[in-house]
Amino acid sequence: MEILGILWNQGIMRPMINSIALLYDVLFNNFGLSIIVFTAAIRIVMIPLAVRQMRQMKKMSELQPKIKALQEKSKQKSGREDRQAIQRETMKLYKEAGVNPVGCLGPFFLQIPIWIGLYNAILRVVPPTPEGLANLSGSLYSWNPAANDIPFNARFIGMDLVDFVQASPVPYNILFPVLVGASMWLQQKLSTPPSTDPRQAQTNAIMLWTMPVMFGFFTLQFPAGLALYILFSNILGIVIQYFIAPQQSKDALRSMASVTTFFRRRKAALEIAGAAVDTSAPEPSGEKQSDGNPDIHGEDGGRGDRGSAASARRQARRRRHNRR
Amino acid sequence: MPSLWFAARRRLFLASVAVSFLLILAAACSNKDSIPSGGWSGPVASDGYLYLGASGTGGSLIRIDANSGRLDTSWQYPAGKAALGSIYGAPLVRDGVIYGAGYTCKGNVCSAEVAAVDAASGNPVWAEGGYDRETKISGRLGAGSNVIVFGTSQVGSEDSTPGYLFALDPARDAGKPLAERVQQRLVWKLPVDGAIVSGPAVVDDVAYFGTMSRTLYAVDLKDDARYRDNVSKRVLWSFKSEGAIIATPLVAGGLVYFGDFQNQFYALNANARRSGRSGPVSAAEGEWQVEAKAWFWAQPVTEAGVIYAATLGGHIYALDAKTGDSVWPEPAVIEGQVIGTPVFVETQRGRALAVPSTKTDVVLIKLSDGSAQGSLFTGGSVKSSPFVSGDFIFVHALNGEFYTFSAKSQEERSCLQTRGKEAGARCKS
Repeated sequence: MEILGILWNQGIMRPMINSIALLYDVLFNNFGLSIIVFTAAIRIVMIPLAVRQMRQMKKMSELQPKIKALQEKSKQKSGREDRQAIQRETMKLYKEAGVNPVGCLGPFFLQIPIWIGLYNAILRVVPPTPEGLANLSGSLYSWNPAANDIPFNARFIGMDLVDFVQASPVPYNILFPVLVGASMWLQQKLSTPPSTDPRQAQTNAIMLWTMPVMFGFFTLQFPAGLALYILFSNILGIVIQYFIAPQQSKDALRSMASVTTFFRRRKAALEIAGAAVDTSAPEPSGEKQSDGNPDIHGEDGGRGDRGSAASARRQARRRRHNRR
Repeated sequence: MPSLWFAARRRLFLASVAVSFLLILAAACSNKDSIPSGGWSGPVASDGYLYLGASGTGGSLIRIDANSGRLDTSWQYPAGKAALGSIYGAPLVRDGVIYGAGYTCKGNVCSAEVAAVDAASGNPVWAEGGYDRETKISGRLGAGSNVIVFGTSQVGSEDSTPGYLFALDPARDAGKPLAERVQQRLVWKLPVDGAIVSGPAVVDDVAYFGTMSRTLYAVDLKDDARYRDNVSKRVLWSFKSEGAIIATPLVAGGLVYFGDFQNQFYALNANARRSGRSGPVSAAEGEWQVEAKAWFWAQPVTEAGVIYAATLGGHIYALDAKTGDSVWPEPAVIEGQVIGTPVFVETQRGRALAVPSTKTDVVLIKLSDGSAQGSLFTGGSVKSSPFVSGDFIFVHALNGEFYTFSAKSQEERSCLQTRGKEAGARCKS
């Protein structure tokens, strides 16, 4: 455990503290700017990983029909050996396509130690207690010119970046959680490829909302500096995502537009229905309305997460109905 | 099977996300640097008792019988479960009253309290709750002729002043019954350019202290009509150092000695500065400046014309008080940081400097050449200043254990726990 502690401190914490301190020294003693530039540097370093993640996700989505076929096959087989053979086949499929099913999570997990490290680094660089001040002397490299700047000024555009977001002045205490949540949602929306597997689509849909809401909530407990990092990291992530996978991003944006259109048309339909009720006209059924309106599945041809999941469920229902 | 594989993968993904959040949450909750975690008050002696601030976030003023080494459980301020917070400076004893200060924070909201406690009875002298402010007090208290002074670090964004020197009248309402006494004991407060982390050194009614904004202040504490309209006139002189100043200065022989966070150690001529001399260090005025290898936190000490100054890098320098020349061929080096003020002790092998270290020891350094003479082994890191009385050295470790050592033999005489449910019991180790 002690070795892990040393590795954490010497391998992550100290480089991070010194990088932020050095940037503070270079960037006109501005702590906010140093966090933003630090975020950009981390994002740039992680671009190859993001590209790899994107490729893996794309390949995974290309494999979906084949995997689905194997899934269908597995339903008909019951023997242990048969199941193992199918499992081997699936793995072979992944191997041939050069896909690691959990590999696409790499960049996400790589972010976790950065977040934890940055949380600690911010509080260590601008220590609010005597203990922290004493520890800072052991954290800065002797060559780091930022030692001349101590104590660092953590104020940035009217707030203290060491203060917790919930204690920051209005409007930052409200804006930060909302912006962090919204930017995270958008980033996930752009980066999640459409899935034809209903369960996967369902998972994606859950994650699309769970993560931003939880993070928005957690942001209240973070120092404003960390919230600034996450916000800029998300914004840069969106920009990078748009450049490395423009088509997918456009599709996602289009599907968002179609969702908006769906709600708009649904509202209009309900208004018409309401008017029809008023004039004793028969009310159109939900199914009919859905089938009759291609936009409900999304202009992306039913590739939107929610649209595809619903579509898959409907198809399954129809298949069962036909069998009967 | 592939469906099982997919289900397992999905579960793995969701579990990973949940674990990640828990990790972030755990990290958020476990950051020790964001709240004061206990303080490091050393002991002071008065009438056969040692008074100190018990460490821990719920710190309190306690006393230990110097002869028996036992905790006096009937004497504690505040009594019961109430707490002063983290107490960093040793209490101040004056006219039979023990003064102590501590602070605690919840998120960004900090509250500090200065308490005055009757040494004999343990009852509050002012009022229950003492003098409280929404600020941080992490240094020692100083005593002028008529006032008690302490430095603060400003918290929150309502007041843009980063720090103040507060002066309280300790005798206000002294004759009144406790219930009729009021809290408004503030005589004046001086805004300064930075946070005051350690407390002031008071000599001849002048308080000397440094700020995190690299300024050393000399402030007149006397009650004078010319200061009533403008408190800033109390500043007799100030000096801009190269780095932030945490260390409480030492005033001896007309010179003010202190180190900063730029590895610099200074000797300034107080009289010359008071007479109007300003600007950088002047050799013509007997001032000097030397460069060390690490930052200074501990207050320097002096004996026989030599200044002993310790750094956070564990270096101990012996410097000629008049010239700043090194007395030892090389500075002594110990493991860990030196935060508490070293003290002089008489050992079997001669006079030594007892240097508290954050690496679980108090190291004895021979005054003549800086060589190590041994160690007083403690069970925890020592950030407070030891206290010497006769042959005994009293050491308050950061883990709450209070040690009594024989200076001559360096043997441990007793050890007791000062905090928690086991307060007063012998140490387990």
